[in-house]
Amino acid sequence: MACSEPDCVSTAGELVKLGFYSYPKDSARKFRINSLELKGSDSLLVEESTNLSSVNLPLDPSDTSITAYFDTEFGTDTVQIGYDVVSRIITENCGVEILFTNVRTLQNTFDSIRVVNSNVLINFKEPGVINENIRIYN
Amino acid sequence: MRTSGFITSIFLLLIVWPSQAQEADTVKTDKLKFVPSGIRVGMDLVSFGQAVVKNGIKAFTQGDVRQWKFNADIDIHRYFLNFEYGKFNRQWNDPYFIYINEGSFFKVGPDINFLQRDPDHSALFVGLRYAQASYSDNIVFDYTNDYWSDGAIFVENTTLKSSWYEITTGMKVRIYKFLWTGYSARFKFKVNDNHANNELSPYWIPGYGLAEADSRWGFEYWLMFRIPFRKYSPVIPKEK
Repeated sequence: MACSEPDCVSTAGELVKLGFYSYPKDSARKFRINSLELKGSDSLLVEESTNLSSVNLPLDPSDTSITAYFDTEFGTDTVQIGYDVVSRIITENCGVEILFTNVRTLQNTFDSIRVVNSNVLINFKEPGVINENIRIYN
Repeated sequence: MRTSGFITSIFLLLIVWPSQAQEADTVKTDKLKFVPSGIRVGMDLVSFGQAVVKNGIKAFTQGDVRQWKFNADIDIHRYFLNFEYGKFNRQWNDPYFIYINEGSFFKVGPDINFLQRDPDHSALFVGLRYAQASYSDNIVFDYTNDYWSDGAIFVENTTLKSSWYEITTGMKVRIYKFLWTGYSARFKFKVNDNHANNELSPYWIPGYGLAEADSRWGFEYWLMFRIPFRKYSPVIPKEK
């Protein structure tokens, strides 16, 4: 992948954002995560963090799903997130981008979960802010 | 090459045009007007030239761009029924990826000829085409990933079909006995690009061009041979 030229604009994001919400009020809530680990990874993604209202999970271009193991103040939960990997040439001079589309939940043990945005794209309106893809209710 | 071809066509047309009035004195009956008088087959010199300029004589057997376009038309009164066929094969060797696209396409549709009474059967036409391409493509590239390990991806589409429409215009003029030349310009639109349905978003569509473009322009300069079925007799309206 290469996007060094000024005219090369990639829309592809690589993080899927999970937001935590209270049920049934549908309002964002903060809680404590003891650990968050992704299957196939040697390191913890989150460790002993409080007041988190969302987490960003890196998607694996070489696979079509990731599985996250949560240990929170509410107990342990697992969610498997599926997605499609689409390769696209931006331009001949700009190289290739990897798009993650059709984000969906394949398995989960949370009380309730909902996909609110199935495409992982860069947020051009608010640079640095990642679009929320999935809402988890507890 | 395009500019010189266009000027040549204009020049030849201007030479031919006055002669039609002189030679078209004979009033013919119109009983044969819907019977085709011949078939014209040709090859596009623009795509042929692009391949040869880039790859020399090797363009016939190898090279990273090969494209051939052929056409045929038969006359039905003041209309032409056209059939075009093309082959496309290109490999993009980019520092960051290798993308290969190959396939074929056909285009069919009518032209209306505004020089119907020309005894040499020259044509100044506008027309429509329905076009369809069958093709495959693949790409291989390396990627970097901050969390997961770096890697390489190879993906391919083995069978793709795209269709679109074209508005065409151009000229065809006789230059010597059975030899004809001419050009066509075309506006291509309403394509289905297979963009959202595959692991690899197609970059190119043979016969159309850049897949994600909503519309494209095209230009061909044709060298053609005409095989007559019968003697062509332009129909001149009888004076009342």
